[in-house]
Amino acid sequence: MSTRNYWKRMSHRRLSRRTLLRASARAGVGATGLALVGCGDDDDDDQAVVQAQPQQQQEQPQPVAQPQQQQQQQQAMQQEQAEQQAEQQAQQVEQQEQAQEGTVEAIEREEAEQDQQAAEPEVDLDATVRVAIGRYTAGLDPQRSGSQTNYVNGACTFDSGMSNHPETAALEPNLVQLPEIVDPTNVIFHVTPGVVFHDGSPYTAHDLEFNFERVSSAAEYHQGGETSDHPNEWASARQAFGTDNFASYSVIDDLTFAVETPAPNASLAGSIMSGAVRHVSKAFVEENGDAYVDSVFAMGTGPFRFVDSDPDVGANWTRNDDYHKPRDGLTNPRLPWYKDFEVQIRPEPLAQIAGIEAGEIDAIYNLPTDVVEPYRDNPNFKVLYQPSGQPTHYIMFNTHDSVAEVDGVPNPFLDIRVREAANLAINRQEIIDGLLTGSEGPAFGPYRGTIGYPGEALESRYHGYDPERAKALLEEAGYPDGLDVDLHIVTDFQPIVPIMALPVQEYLEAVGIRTTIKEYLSSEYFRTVRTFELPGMFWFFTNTIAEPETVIGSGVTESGFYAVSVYPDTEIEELYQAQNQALDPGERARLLAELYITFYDNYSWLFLTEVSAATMTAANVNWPVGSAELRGEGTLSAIQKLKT
Amino acid sequence: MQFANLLVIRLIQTILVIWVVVSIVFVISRLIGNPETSLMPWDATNEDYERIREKLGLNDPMIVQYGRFLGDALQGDLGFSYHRTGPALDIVADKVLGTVKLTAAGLVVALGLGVPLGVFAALRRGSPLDWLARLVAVFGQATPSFWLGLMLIFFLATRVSWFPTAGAEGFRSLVLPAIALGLLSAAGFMRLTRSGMIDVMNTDFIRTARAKGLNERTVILRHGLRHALIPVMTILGIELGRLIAGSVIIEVVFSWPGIGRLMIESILQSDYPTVQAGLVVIAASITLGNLIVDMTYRVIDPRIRMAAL
Repeated sequence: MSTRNYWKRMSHRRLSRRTLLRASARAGVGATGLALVGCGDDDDDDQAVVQAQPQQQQEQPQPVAQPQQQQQQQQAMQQEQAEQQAEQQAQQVEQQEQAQEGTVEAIEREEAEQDQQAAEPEVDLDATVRVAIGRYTAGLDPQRSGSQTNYVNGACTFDSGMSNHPETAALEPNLVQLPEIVDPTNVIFHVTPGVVFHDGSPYTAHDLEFNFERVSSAAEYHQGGETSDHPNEWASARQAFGTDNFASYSVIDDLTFAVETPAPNASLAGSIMSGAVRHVSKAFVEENGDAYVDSVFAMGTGPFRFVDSDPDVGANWTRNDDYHKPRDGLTNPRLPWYKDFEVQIRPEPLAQIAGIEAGEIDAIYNLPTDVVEPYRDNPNFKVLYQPSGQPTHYIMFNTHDSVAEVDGVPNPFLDIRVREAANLAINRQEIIDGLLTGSEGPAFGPYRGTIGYPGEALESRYHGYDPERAKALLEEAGYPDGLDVDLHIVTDFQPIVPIMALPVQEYLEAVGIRTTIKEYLSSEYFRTVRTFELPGMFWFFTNTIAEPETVIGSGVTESGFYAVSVYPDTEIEELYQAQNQALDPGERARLLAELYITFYDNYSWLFLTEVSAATMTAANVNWPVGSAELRGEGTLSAIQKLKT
Repeated sequence: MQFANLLVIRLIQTILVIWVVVSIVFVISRLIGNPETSLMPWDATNEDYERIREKLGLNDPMIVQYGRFLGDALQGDLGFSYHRTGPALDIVADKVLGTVKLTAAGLVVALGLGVPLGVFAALRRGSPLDWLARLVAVFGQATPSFWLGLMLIFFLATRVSWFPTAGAEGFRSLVLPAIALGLLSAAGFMRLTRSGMIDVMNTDFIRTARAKGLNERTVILRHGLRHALIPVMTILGIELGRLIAGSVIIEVVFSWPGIGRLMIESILQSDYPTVQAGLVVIAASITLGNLIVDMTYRVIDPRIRMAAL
């Protein structure tokens, strides 16, 4: 039976019932009227007698003893009373009818509400939600390194120290409460009481300490330490998140963990407690060993309990009903809206979509946007665009001292007019409309969801597209015949990069910046970028982490791993240091905003565009937030499967 | 030449083929990527990279790595997977059954469809049905298997829901990938069977068989088809290799867990040991399959057997 037929039938049933109710209500009015007429008290009986009197007068002989005038007067009075009573009666009947009509309206209103509820079916809390993904990393350890990180399992089975508000990006408590700033270099983290692992053991400050050590180089536990039995030697993925910024740390009691930093560090909590660092159980890892935790069974505090996993088939979880955060519609992990969660591995995107169409799959995320294009208006699907894992693309100009001169010629990108010309040369809207989904915007630096991101201020400064002005600027800068530079790109990291590089090359050439595209595989590219020795421009992208340190700490500050574009003569470095020492969140956000604006006004990068990915669900699935978080996995608990 | 001697020579040839294939893959895989990059975080220091390269033996000269690889391979050790837990050969071995099932099912489709259609077309030569069968054959040979797979999913799995769109649960999930895989070979078998049958049915011994009063069914199946199948057997080995190779893309399209998908994953992750182990198994399967076909060929065709002896 199709859903449409079902609702059509239900609609018919509702109409019949309504008609029946209306009829019975009218019948009730009629019956009431009859009751008022024929089944009332004695007065009513008299009235009935009075009403019937004219006919009776014709049929019955008049009393002989009463004088005729008196009889006429009495008859006149009785007639008048009868008329008055009849009028009152009519009014009462009318009122009753009106009351009954009101009842019908009330019934109709109630039914309309029921209709509305029926039109918005309930969430099926016992549902199994099936999600298709292209690849599933074999390892179950959430702190495994590099491309081996299993993000699905990390978000389902495990939890992060803190989370970020989906709209404001502000830090929110999770396993750990917001940090208590003792003094500029001492921070205390209070563990959220009552959080338990899936095996029932409590999450304590000892677990917190263990995780710090495990993901960082702060102890000899891993990084090839003797206690590690991790396959192929351990290499944590999470060094990037500030875990090596401790002067000292200690567990004060079961719920309290103290950290001392060498200098004030405003990004510490946002980095080491971020959603990218998932916490394991100290006792579980020590008891079973790293290899077991990585390849056999996953156990954490997350919204789902791990059931089983096969890297070539899929994985299963079931809801953790003891999860410490109640369900709501927010993106951060909450008590899930469904009971069981199944991941199916389907490498081919079209096979994933076919799975939705065949009713085998409920949702897909991180889909290429061109693949979902034909389904945008299909009522059997819901298509949603969200930021991709690397949502903001830009090109860095190498301005390091090592390339201050290239072949005896000064580095052109040290001149702000050349950088401005490059920015004005690109028609971003045409790229957005022609290559992307049309829903993206120009890039202004970091991801829009980053702490302190001053959206309106940046948008008001938009560089725009002005090739004539770009040519004039190049001429002013001493390049009337243009210039030749290399554009270095990575080809296997984001599919859109080599595609988008071609129009960018054409736009730049149109104003006189002639580029030679140098292609690299990611295995070479990131190491090449970090040498800062090659002149030219380097394609790069930001991530979707709310804490900006992972972007500005690596790409903006002069000591960053990927800081190809550095400008010592500007306020940028000063602002970076200032925000990093601003322990007051409001003040830090203000300084970050100033930093972003200064960086943009300096034409520090060639700012390109945002890049989207797509989420697709079946029609009976709500995932309003889509996967609008880092790689999407953090929002899986927000999926709602509706009863049909 | 004795059958046993021939077998030994062919086995040696098989080992040589596997060695050449694996050596080529060894060199190419090291030219196109660095596995340590996928093992390390973005911000890993150069010291981190050096440490892991040292650990994996990637700092040694290529010839040293190759010698170590061959020495270990002779002992059945193809290394540990960089991304999965366990020896690479064990990981590949776990997937062999999936690929064997798919390949066998594809072969059944190819033979089950190709041979009867070929016989039918030959016996009704020039008829509209012959034309139709040949058209199907051309379509089958001209259609990329991945496209055919997607079309099968679209029509038979999503439109009418006869089969699941993906996965490997039960017989129903095997049907569509087997058709997508086997249709190309079916077309080849059909054309070969048809031409073979046409040739055979015009020979003297068929005329003699008919003159002896044998019924037409016996003439066709026992005398005609038996001889027409000899060239089919000849290309069976080649088709077996094609089916195994074709299963790589079919496994991806239908999310079928087999060696093909494992190989694709491993190549994307620069997981050298698993790629090498997978290729050893695939190369061995194809060459052994050819060996078996060759041996069978000699058994069913007395002329070849006699010539060899």
